[in-house]
Amino acid sequence: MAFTYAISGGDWARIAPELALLVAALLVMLVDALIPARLRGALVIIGVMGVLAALAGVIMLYASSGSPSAFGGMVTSDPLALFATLVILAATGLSLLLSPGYIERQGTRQQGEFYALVMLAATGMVLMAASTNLMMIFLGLELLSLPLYVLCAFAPGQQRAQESGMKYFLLSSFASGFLLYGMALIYGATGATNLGGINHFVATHAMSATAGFGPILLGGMALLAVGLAFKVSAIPFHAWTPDVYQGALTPVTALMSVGTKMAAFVALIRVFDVALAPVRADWQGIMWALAILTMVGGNILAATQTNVKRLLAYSSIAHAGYLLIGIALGTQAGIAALLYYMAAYAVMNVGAFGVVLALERVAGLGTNLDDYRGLASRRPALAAALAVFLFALAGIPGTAGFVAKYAIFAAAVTGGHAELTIIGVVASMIGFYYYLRVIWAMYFVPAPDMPAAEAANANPHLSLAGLNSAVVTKLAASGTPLAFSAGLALALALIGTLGLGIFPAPLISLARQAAGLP
Amino acid sequence: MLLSLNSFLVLGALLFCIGLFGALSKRNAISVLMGIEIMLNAVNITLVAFSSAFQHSAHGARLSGQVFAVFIITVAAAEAAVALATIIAIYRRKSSVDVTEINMMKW
Amino acid sequence: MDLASIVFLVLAAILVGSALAVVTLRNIVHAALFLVLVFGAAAGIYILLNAEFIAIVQILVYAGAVTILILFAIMLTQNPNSRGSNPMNRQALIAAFIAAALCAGIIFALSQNNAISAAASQAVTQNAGTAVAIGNLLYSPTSYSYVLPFEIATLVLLVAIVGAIVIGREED
Repeated sequence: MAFTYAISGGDWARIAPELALLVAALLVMLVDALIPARLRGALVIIGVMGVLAALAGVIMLYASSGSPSAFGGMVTSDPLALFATLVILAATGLSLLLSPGYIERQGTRQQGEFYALVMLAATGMVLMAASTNLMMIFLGLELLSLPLYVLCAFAPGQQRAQESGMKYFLLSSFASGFLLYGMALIYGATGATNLGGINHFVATHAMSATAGFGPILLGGMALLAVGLAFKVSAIPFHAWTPDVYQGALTPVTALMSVGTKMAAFVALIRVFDVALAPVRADWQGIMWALAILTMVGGNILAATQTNVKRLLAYSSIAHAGYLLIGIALGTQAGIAALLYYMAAYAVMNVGAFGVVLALERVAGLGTNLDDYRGLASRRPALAAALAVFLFALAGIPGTAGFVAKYAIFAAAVTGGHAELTIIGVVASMIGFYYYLRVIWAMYFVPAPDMPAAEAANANPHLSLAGLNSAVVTKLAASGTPLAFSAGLALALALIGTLGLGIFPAPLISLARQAAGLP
Repeated sequence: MLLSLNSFLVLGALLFCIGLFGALSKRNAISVLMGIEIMLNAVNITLVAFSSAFQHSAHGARLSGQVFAVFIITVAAAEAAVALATIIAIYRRKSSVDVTEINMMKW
Repeated sequence: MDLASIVFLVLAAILVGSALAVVTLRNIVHAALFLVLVFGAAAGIYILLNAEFIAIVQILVYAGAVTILILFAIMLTQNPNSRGSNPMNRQALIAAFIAAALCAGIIFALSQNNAISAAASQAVTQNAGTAVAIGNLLYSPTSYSYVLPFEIATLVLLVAIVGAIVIGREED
């Protein structure tokens, strides 16, 4: 049998960002084995360099010409993939910068593995966003999920972390089952696993709910939609999100909330808005209902929360609802708005989690709304930063969040779905309430009467964590100092949140290019 | 015509739903995992059945169903390893693998 | 009724029966043993579909490795003699309803479908040497390349190794 090796160097160049992240992950593991334990904190430098190298790869691919498709149509480096890669790299880089100091404070000894798994998860996210084949979408999804299961279970000595890892695993592989069954039925109906082939088949064959391949395709689409809805935590498939986001280490939560969403939304765009565009009438209703349920439900549930990490988890569900509008519209303007929204969401959400992380003490303590009372007088800089991020998440003008919401609601109106805009605006009003509640607590409610140190000493969880009370008192009284890299990450997120709000034009044109608009 | 494609597909659908029931109704994390494994097996049967049926179709993807099944088996094994490590780690701490609080359908 | 049909009927009955046993039995060790039967009967189905390679992989990975993993996990976490080691949760009825509804929906979709026959001529066709064909697809990238998925699968396995060690390591 002739053995023709048809993969060229050009194919590998098309996945340069993924390769850079992967090489960084492997380097972290290698160096981890060679250096003494006390230097392991420095491994984050390799990770950040990997992110920067991947960024260079993205810029190179933006500049390159020729067909973006590689590996026989398995992956692509089209503008959509590159834009998603930028968002994922931003989230990965910021999460990495937030980690030093924090993960040591949480008692993590296996720092090498932590950074290596973060980089591998990022590789999976970028790959999933670049996939143009159902098989690659599945493998990218698993490559991003599997490290995240492990990272969720990472905090040593914390039962809640391990249970959140278990819960994430069970629900996620349950969702993978639906996703795969949907893919199998779509493959059966169209005879192809590559999205181009599926699109070709759907476009050239008459489809209807009762004839031809229609019924099987319809079932496949529904199951695939359920599977991906789990991954973007759309209601009613969101049950895992609050517990997992609350239980995991905060940098992992930040990465997960942005990176997984971005990758899964690109998969939704590629499968539904592009490949299955000819049968839009069949799936639009599902996405429309998911968007409304998720927007309204996420905001209402968030308003009842008293833990800030949990509140941000429900807020991330609500934002998934706004993003689903972009999918449901199915127009290029909707996709462009979704992409811009995702970029804005990346900086403001990672920033908000960054402040939570800076205030968090061991074992998830210090994340309750009560702990934020009077924060403005104790840590004015952090309180101001969190206020900006929350205003952005709420969509106040002058921030990235406002431009993003405006873009997606405008796209809904021009796309002929004004009802989505109206419901979205109403849901955002509920959103104002709970974001402002945190800001109100920080600025206008005095700190609790009992000194924080006493409260911490009275708390049995802390003594369980095996810390001597002197350390606890010190941590609780003064708050933990902000590590330099975490400060840098917060500053970058702040610049991004305000910069994208005041000068949105360059990124909007990039998003429009990614959506195929002039 | 028992060996028609549809009989294999119906078998896959039945198995998928039995696995789904197992994954949703169990309290023991290992049982939930067993339910998920049955679901994945059902998917593989569906894929291989389609793949066999497409032998003569024009697409270059004739065997992609079988290749897909190989990847699903690989990933499922990897997932099982991580899951069981987590289950044992939880058990060491808690002496229980009851997942009632890991409730799949919690609102 | 020809031999293949009889074999299919027997295998399908074993599959459905033992899958039901896995999800309903009260003793988790028995459930795990019936899971082996599910995996084995599925391998038989693959042979019936002329997918010998998948059948062998199924036996090696599922019936071999995954079953052993599950049995080890049960051994380490349960008292195997306890009868109620595999209880249902409170939502078993809702779960049964969801599963039955989904099953009815999918089977209805399958029965509505008549065009599959056009592409697939209903009967499952003969094809020899799928192991060779799959090997060629995986390793020699010509028109339809699986080299990249193959590499990604190796990465997934790497993550599983690292992850299992990280999680399973005794904290000292």
